[in-house]
Amino acid sequence: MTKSEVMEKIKEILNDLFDDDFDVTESTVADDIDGWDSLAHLQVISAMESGFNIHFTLGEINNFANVGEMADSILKHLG
Amino acid sequence: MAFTSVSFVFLFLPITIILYYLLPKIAYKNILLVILSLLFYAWGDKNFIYLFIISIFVNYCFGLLFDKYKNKFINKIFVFLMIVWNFGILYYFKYLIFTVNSINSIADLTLTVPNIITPLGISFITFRAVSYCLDVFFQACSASRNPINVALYITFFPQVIMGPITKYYEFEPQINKREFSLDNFTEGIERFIIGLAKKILIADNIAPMVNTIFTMEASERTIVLAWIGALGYLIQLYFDFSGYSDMAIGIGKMLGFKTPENFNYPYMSRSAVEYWSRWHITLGTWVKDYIYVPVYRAMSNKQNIFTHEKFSVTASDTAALFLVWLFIGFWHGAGYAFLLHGMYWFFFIFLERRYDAYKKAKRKKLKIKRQALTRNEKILAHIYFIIILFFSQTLFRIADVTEWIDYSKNMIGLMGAGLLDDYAVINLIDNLVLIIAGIFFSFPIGKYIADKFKEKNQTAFIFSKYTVLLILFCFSILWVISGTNNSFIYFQF
Repeated sequence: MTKSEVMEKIKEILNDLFDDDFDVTESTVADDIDGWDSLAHLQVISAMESGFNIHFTLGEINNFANVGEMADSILKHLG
Repeated sequence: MAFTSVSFVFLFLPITIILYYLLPKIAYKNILLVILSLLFYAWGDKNFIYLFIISIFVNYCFGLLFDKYKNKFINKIFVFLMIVWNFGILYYFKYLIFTVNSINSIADLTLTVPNIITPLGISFITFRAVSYCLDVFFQACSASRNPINVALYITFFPQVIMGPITKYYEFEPQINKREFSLDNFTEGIERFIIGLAKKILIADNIAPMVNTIFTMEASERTIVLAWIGALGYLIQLYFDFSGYSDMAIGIGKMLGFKTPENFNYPYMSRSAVEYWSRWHITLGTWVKDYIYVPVYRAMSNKQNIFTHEKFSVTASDTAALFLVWLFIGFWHGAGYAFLLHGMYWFFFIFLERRYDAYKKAKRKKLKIKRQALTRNEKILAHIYFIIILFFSQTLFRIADVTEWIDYSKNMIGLMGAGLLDDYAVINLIDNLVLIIAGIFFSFPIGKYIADKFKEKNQTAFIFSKYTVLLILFCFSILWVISGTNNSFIYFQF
């Protein structure tokens, strides 16, 4: 998978989860999206894990500064 | 040794800073800090220094094991042993007496109650040790090969006794790379003086009134007096604890360390959820990182044995929150009152989260965006929060459920002591300046005025700032020398 494919899928998952149609870029942060609070963050993580069939370590999930970093981490897990 | 003692301000701190900046390499500075931190701890509690050193070494070894057996099953056994070790020590010193007393009273036995003295800062030390181990276990950081680094993190004297509880992943990048600048150093001194003044001039001066009102006969406490006492305690607790945090952050800055903020005007909050993101912030983030998130994730990936479906978000959230508050309740002290205090906050946070989820679902259904609260809604939300805060913190102060019920009856007028008496008026007048100052500085009004002033005239602002700081320092030191200051409230934890 390329990074742009990962980003496309992340956008799909986020749109589906927050039931809205919004744009997602690498610099998107949680504050940009209505309803992405700390509890929703864990739902985002779970949705990414099942969507990409990966498992984040607990050390990783608090350290994403933006969606771009999450995409990098997903790419790393996908090998 | 308290930060507010003459020996600390005029001896320990200056000597530390001079030696620290004389040493050329950061590795030497780290060794110096470990030695001085152990000395600082031993000054307060020399009986437990050996146990403290052994515990650091054991946690250092756990870190190496977690790194070596990464992603292997045996690591789960090691993490279990690590938790037993750290919380076993905490349990022995803090909860064994309570357990024996409880068994005696429930089963009507006469087991001998052990005579145990609780080591200084044991709860905070446990938090740091566990943070190191779990950050390595969860792979947020790698284990340190150098035991000095682990010792520096766990013993770091500005934070060892009362926090802020810096997590290892926040501290680790600073072990070998710190920013030393004159700006940082002067900001550190400013912050230290502000903290000192908060503790000495406000918290310690309002303490006698609070003590008198809380220890008097309940039947003599009028409604107004009970509320003045509760308000006084809110002021005392905030200025005591945030004053200590300011001093810890300030000392950290003087030494080139960044320390996470522990308070952000908590009394401004409009909900229990908001309050806990503004009060003792580092405790909140600790329980979130090491209890809430792991429990939530474990639950939400598991199947319910009855329905064979994965646990819902609500179920996982509630279970994780419940454990967090059970833990916080017990962490604050061995006793039913602290347990009730934890459950009290769990109840309101649970209600608020469910109400929020309900509103979110409704918005989604009607396809409308979240709207800001109106002015009236904000006022109502603030009143709701202030009421739950008053009743919660009186329980925290009294630490006894029956006495707290009596105090609450005083507050709502069910004790028959009347609305107001001369004694309440005298207390109010005597402490009026402190109460007004306490309320004023609990909100960012002063900061707002200072920022405006700075924008208008920078030179005059700087001159006034240093004059005020100098006055605050001199007054605080005079008070310290006169020997009227109390120990910090959170020392008992």
